[in-house]
Amino acid sequence: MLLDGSHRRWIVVTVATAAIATAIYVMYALTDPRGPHGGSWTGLGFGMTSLALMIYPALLGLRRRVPTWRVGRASTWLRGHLWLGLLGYVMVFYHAGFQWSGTLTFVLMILYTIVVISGIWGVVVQQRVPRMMLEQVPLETVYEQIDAIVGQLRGEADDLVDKATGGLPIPATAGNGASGNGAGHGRPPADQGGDHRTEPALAVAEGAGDRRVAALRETYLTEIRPFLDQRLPGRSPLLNARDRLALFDHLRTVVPPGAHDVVEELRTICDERRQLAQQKRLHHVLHGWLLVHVPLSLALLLLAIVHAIVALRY
Amino acid sequence: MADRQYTSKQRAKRIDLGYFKRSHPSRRTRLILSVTATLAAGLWLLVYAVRGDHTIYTSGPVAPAHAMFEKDCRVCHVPSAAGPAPQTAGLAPSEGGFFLKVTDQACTTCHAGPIHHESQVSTPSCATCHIEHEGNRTLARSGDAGCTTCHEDVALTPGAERRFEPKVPSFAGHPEFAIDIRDGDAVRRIRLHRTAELKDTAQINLNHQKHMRAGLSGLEELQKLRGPSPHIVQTKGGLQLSCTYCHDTESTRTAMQPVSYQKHCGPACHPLDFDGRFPEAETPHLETSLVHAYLRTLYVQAFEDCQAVGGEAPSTENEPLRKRCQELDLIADAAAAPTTPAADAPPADAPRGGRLGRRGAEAPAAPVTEPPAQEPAEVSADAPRGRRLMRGGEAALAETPAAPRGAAAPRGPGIEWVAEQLRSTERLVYRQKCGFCHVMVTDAGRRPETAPTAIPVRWMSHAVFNHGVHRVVTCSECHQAETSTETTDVLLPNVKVCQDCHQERGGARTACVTCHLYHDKTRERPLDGPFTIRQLAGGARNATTPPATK
Repeated sequence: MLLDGSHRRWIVVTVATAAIATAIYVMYALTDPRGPHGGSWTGLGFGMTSLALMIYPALLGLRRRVPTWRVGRASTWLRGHLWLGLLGYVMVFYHAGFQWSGTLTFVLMILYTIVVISGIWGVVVQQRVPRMMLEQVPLETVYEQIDAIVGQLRGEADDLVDKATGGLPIPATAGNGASGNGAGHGRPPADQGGDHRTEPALAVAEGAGDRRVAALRETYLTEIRPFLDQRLPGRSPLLNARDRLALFDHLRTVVPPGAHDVVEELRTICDERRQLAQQKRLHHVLHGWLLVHVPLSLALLLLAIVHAIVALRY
Repeated sequence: MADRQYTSKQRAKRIDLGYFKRSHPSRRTRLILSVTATLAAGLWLLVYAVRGDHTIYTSGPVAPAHAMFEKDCRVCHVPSAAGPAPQTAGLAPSEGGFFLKVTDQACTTCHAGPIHHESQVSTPSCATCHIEHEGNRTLARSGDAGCTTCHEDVALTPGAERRFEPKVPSFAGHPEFAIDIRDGDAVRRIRLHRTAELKDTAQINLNHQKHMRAGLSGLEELQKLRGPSPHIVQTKGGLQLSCTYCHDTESTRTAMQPVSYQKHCGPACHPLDFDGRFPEAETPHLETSLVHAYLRTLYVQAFEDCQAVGGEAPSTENEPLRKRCQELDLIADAAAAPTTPAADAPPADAPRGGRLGRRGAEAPAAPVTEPPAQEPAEVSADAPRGRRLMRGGEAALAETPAAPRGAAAPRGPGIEWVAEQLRSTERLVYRQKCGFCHVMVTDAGRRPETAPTAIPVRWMSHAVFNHGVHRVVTCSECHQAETSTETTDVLLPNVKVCQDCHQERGGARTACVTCHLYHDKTRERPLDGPFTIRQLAGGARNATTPPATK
């Protein structure tokens, strides 16, 4: 979510509420003989407010699970989640009087702090990463489909090289081809032959001999095909822009001119693979914080409710 | 080189449109983590619940005094209404009611919590001042706010006499210290700045300035006698007594121990010797009746010894005794028979000296009267002379404790001799020895007595002061003893002296409880408490039987 002008009203309300709460807290801290603490009426007021402001952001998850609920727009809920969650964090400090020497209260504060920090991190990366995605991944696709598309790209490349060199010494698998969408890319399935050999489609094979075709096949098998695997190799010239350029330039000089289109096609396939890898990486940055934020939020909510009940009792 | 371009149709063809119906590893991971975190939190609470341990719910560790109840909230948190009986509140299991508060009743199960002042208009609850769950702190160390709530403007019950400063907002606004001064049977409360009324009424003669003088005579002898002392310091002017030679704190270093004659005054500096003919003898530092008994026994014994040695032939064994007897004029010479001593006795009021007899002669004219009338003067030569008669026939001698075993009572002239010696020696002892330091009380016809010293153990009855924690400061910073020449000088520091260090900003503590106690400790309950160890150790769960009511 971008922090744009639509947040102005939320910011004003949050800052104003925090200012009022601060004024109340200062007066309370100066006048209470015992000093600020969670058990006083004012402290309890802050505590109940912060619990409410903790529950509301947690409801965002429910709101997303049931998008058909007519309880306001999702973007409004998200803004509320962001700003009211922050406000709740301030209220917790005022509730506790900046002291959390109990075990549960200490754990609550640790959890809340991690949740807030991870949330802030999430907001920060959302300001930057989508733009990076737009710039660095023009061929962005659905994140969940990246692996499938990578499989398609490899099948497509296998076909290209297979046709150009007259055969690849690799078994054909269903994964090499299109993953069920009928796009037609990829190697033929296994029933069409494993280590099949066909006549090279390129005229180059007649004059230049097998050595030049073998160079294309060899480069493909050792450098390009591993790069098109689901897991990127740890070391590959295709990971680096300069080395990638050098590799394809070299390949272009090695193969006969008739195969330059094949090399160019392989280059674009590798570039798409690289973009998808970058998309995956950016996606992890963009959403990885949720793996911390969401589970700890749920634990925090449970413990906060128990804390409220026990504290009210005692 | 042209990059790959896809049309929307191509894109759509590449994507499995039903992907969202299947769980993706990233979403699955998030779900697993969410469930795991929530379950872990719940499990954590469950483990403590099963163990019956409530410690995780406390807002902080309890004070060390309540550490054994830390795991069981219900020992102190009891239903505020319809709770257990007063004697079982606290340790008894508390049932009923959702809200469990710490009531005064729960506190007073173990603590007496005596009232602060009879005329106070309101009494705060225990928990108002004694704040628990703040860890390793003394619960009695409550904040000033608990005190100043009332003492900023003290209200008293109607008709109550106002004895204390009504407005004490803080230590910076603390009034001048006040001390209790005895005036006969009455005790007057006087503030230290009212110097005209400020008189130490202790019945003792002491000149601090003289004792703190460098080169005070006798200190060399004292060091020879007792060895080097850290309380006697070498200065340019010679040896000097430090304050701590006489003034020491008790084991808690809070209050000062009383000055002791045996430890601080004598026998090195102020020996109670009385007769040069008995150079080793000193009267006990006891009441005058016992001094009299001691002297009488001594002289009777001397007389008997001289009578015995007078009948013996001179020898090397009895030579020292014969010499003393000659000095006592109880025998004329080595071969002579015992003489009648009364006529040759030294004048009754003549100083006898002793080791420090010279100092005794310098003694100030203390209000010492003549020895009591019933003393030796009443013992006439015609008095019955038999041992039996002497024991029961003479009042003064009858006071004498039993003579040492084997000592024969004097007969005839011996009584007169002993009486004469007693008269002269007692006059000297009471005037020059006792009266040198003590105020002597004389009453016609009675033996002089030392007035009770009446040195206050604590000057400020409403405050405590710990000398131990102030030991980094030299005594004279607070007590102007070096210039004090009169016993009546009150050498206590003014509040300003304390405020030099005890400041709210950047100074030593200024909390009221640093010096003052709230509860009247004289009304604390006896040490014999109401609970058994089993009840205490079991907390609320095991307290099935009510404690015995004390």
